[in-house]
Amino acid sequence: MSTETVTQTVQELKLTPPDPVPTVTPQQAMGLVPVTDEQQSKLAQRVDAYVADLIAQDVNSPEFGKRVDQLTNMGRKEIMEASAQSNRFLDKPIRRMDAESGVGADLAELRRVVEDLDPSKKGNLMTKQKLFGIIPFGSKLRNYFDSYQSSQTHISSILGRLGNGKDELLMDNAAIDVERQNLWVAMGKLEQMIVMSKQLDAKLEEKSAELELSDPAKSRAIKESALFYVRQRTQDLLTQMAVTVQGYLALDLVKKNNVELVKGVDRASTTTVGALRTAVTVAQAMTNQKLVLDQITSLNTTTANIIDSTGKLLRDNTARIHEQAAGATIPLETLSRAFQNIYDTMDAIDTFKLKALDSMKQTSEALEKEVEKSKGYIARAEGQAQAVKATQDSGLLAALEG
Amino acid sequence: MNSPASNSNETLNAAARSLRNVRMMPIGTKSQALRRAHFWGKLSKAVVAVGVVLIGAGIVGAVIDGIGFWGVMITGIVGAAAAYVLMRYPEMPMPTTESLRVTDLATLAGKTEIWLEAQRPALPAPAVTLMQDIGLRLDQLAPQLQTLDENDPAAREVRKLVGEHLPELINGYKKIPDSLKNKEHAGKTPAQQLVDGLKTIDREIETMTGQISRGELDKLAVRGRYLEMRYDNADANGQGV
Repeated sequence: MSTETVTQTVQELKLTPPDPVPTVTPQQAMGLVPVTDEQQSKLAQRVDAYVADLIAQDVNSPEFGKRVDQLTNMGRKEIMEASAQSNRFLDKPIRRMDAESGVGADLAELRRVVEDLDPSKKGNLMTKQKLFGIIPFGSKLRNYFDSYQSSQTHISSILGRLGNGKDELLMDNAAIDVERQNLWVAMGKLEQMIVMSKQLDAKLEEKSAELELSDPAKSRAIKESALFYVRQRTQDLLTQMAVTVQGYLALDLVKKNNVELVKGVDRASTTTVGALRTAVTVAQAMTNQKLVLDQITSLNTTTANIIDSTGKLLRDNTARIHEQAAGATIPLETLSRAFQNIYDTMDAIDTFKLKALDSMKQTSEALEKEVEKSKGYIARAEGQAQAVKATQDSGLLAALEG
Repeated sequence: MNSPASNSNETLNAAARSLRNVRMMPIGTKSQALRRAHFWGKLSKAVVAVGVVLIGAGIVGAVIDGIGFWGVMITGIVGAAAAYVLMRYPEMPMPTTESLRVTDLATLAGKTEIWLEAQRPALPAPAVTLMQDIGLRLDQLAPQLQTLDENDPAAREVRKLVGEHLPELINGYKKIPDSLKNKEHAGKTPAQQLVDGLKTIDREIETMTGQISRGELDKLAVRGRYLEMRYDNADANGQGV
């Protein structure tokens, strides 16, 4: 029986940082959210009614101008709504991951405390301690295990904070889920507006071609004002859609990162508690010392969920460790391995963090650029909105209901 | 026997009376609440004043060994006068267009209602009915304003709409001479413009109420989702073992 069997059951922790979200082009943005046939036909009806109404007006009358103004305002509400939400990712801080606060700081602290307890950094614990190098004075091993008792309060408070940090991460993810749901709705509305503006485009073009001979003035007015605005608006809507889709995907990136980080935190807690419990067993086996780590044991019951697997693992191992106790150094090696598990976990988290932060940075830079671009036309839309505030309501093309 | 025709005057009077009643009814509960608070404030002051007068009379009576008939009369008159004056003044401060702009958010809805109620006599009938609706909307908006931060963009929007656009619309209408109020200008009569404007404001207040409460709705949804993730391990969120 080798020590390998004791620790091998702990699988290697793999934390995969998600890839950065690429820039979504306006061309790709359309058609991501489905618009039902029923909605399509409803929109078509509105478009028909609007076009018929527009054609019926005298080209030079203010009424015609008012109808055209409606076009410049088309989808204003949808765009405003989507733009308010799509940069949510940018205010979602990467705060949980930075080293100064939150989970990152707690993990660093845990590492320091754990390193202080690591048996492999204590020299040969098996040698007898001697006063002035001559007089036998206590056991190094005994002193070593005593140090556990003094650091258990510290460790359990760090583990408690890590638990809170994990809860915060879960809370963030819950918020992201809700935000993504809202974004999905906003994207659905944008998509409908895009469909509508495309239909308008086709319809207006058809009408202006029809009128080319019978009423060239009207045909030209439709082409130069109505059609021009519709196309401009389509572009605005598509650009906003692209930004929104990108924000939607970016939020998912944050969520995936958080999920990985939660895994890492769980594993760090598990391996730490595992090492401490191994220490209890080893102390018992080697020095017949009863190591009382009350705080950690109570932690056991509160986070039963996490610790369960470790607990099972350790129950199996306890017997083996006792068997091996005769072989003197083997239990200590087991303990060293348990510590190695903690380091491996933390190293995995560190590597993950580096890569994830990089992904996040790329994503937020790309999104920031797109949001910046979209700000230009939102400002333009606002300007138009104020100019034609009176016409925006009651229009056929006013915002979608609900 | 009265013929129906001779009743017509009475009927007209009754109609005018009930119309006045409708006009004078508060348009929302928030304005009522503010008025009631003001009334109770005055009443408690009056009660305290009467109490002070009575105790004062008692002390004087103890010192000079009885205040006699005239003493009682004077006490009564002074008490009644104090109660009258305190119940009469200070009058409920009437919000003005300027004061609405700077009033705090918590009482903005109520004060706007009071202001609107005062404007009713100058407005055409359809606008008066609309005012009733706006009062209702303001009542719904009021609880949300209690907790809203002054610097919130939503707060600024509400302030603009309720504290500026609404009074300005009505003042604008009132400035137009009566004879021109039903003459068409720029496609609509001023009365029509007013009614349309009020309709837009009414709808906008509703939208804002929805928007402000959306934050709360989201919070609740997030909490629910969190509980699901945390305690129902059904979801694979790196949760559970």
